[in-house]
Amino acid sequence: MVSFKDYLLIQYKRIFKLLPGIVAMILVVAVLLSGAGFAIIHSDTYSAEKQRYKLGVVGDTDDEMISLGVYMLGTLDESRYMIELVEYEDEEKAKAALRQADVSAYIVITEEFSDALNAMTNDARLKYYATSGQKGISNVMMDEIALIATNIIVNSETGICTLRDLMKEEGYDKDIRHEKVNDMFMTYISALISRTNITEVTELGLAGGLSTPAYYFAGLMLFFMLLLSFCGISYFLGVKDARHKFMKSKGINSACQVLGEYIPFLTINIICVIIIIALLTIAASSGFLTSEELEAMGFNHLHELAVKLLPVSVMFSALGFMIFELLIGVINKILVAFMLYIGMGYVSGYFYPKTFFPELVQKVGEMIPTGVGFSYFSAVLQNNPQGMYLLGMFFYTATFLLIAIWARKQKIR
Amino acid sequence: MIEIKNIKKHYGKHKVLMGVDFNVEPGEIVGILGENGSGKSTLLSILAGLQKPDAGFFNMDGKDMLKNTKFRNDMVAYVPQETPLIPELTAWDNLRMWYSSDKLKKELKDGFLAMLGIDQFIKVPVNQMSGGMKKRLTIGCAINSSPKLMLLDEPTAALDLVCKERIYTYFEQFKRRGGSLIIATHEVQEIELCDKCFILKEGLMTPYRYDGDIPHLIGRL
Repeated sequence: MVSFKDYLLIQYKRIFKLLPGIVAMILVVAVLLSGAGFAIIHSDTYSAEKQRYKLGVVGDTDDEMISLGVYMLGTLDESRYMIELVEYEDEEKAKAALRQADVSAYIVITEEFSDALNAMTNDARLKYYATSGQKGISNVMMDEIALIATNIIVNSETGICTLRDLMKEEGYDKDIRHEKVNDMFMTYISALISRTNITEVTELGLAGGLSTPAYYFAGLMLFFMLLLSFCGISYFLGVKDARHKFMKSKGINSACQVLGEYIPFLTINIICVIIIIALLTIAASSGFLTSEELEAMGFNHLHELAVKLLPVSVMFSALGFMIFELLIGVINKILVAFMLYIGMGYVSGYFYPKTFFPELVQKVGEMIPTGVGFSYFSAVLQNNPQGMYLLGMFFYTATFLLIAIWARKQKIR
Repeated sequence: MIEIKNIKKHYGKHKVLMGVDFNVEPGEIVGILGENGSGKSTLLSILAGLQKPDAGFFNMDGKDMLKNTKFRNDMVAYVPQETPLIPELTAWDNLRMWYSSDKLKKELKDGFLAMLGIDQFIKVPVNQMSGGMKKRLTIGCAINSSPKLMLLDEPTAALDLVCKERIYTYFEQFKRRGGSLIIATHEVQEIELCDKCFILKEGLMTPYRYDGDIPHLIGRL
């Protein structure tokens, strides 16, 4: 009678025969995803995002105070490192720029606002326009920028106007009024410049406190791990039910068959992850990736990463195995798995931050296997506790394998 | 002595086997005839232990084969209609799963495997083999435990005459050594090889003596 060990060994033999093809596919996928990752991290969009948000300013900037405020905001205030002010002649041009994503938002300074400012009635408001949709990081940032702009333009200039008008009412000469107002300007500018010393700009996390490069790295790495199952697709092709029946007649039941095939499949997937980590190590040691970039991605020791990714690999391999076990036909297997991976990855925030989605979708995205994997990997990158996520991944792995065993039983019937 | 009594099996409302009875003596070849979907493969899969019957007995030498699974796995060899072989591996690799290295070498030299002519393509990967080679190799894998009963589901379907003849020769050898065979078949040559035949129709088995009258056989199916 043949034992589980014999069956496992023959499956290892089988998958290692397929290894050259599998490795070739891994390298292709790895090159494509590395290219995508490199492009994201070094793209203009990312660099621009990292530097400054563009804020459009439309309307009555002829006013002495407002033009000064806008000038100071654009040249002196600490916020200039985050905000670039772009002046537009009319609102239509600003709107077009917003639609084309040339600016993240724009502010309309109406004539009423300027009048209210000069009259110190403060009953008019700045009009702030931003893109619609769910609150993403850009929207949050733009809200903050609008607040800064409003504070600087309204509060400080109201103070200057108040001084000028009070002095006029008290009967001071024009020269003295100008001198004092200029002093006030200088005091204001000094106060603005000192903001540099009292503020510390920290890049906000995209999700769960991850930096932008770490977030994209996590998303791409996990998506790559999902795609790994395609590299091993040849392992699932040409397998006929007759083989399962024959094995069963020889005493190898469905559970033994599934485990005996899953373990080599998992091994290959782990080897693939190790290959990718090795490539990253080579890239790091050859200077292609700097230690700063690696640190920005959230890790320093690549070999530790390989070990930490093991549970994700276990779960994703089980997911791939189950899909390929349930589906019949190579086209079906590839199409359904690909659609499923893209959908699951998308909802779990692999490509865009989850905050783009409605709250319910976000919750679902966090609970599905890809989401649990992402939460786990985020926790790993931040050295946070991972126990709950490990438990979740174990649950999913067991479920996928049980479904695969059930499917195998149906094939043997 | 192999006794099969009152085997019943249904899938949902569809009753496939409604009480199948027959005996197989040592050294006997039994043919099971019937239309496609008549339940031949279901019967073989029950005897091979792939699925459980709703009712019935399957005894060999007084042992309950439905309960003694280890004994059944050793004593019964099942050869499915399609190839169960691993296409990426050679004949040797496929056989090594079932035979120890020493036993395999011996069998290839002067045993059943040599009789099947497997030694001639031992290093050939399965995906480069002809249908006949695959069938012979499948039989070779199935008989690793020196079984007393072979269950064959259309063993020579779509094979050429030379290959069929080689497999029939092997069946004769197996029979001469006291082994029994149950063959589900549509092939006239195989029916002629059988010591007794049964027609499986509407879930019941009825004995049938083939006398070369094919139209009569077709009428009975």
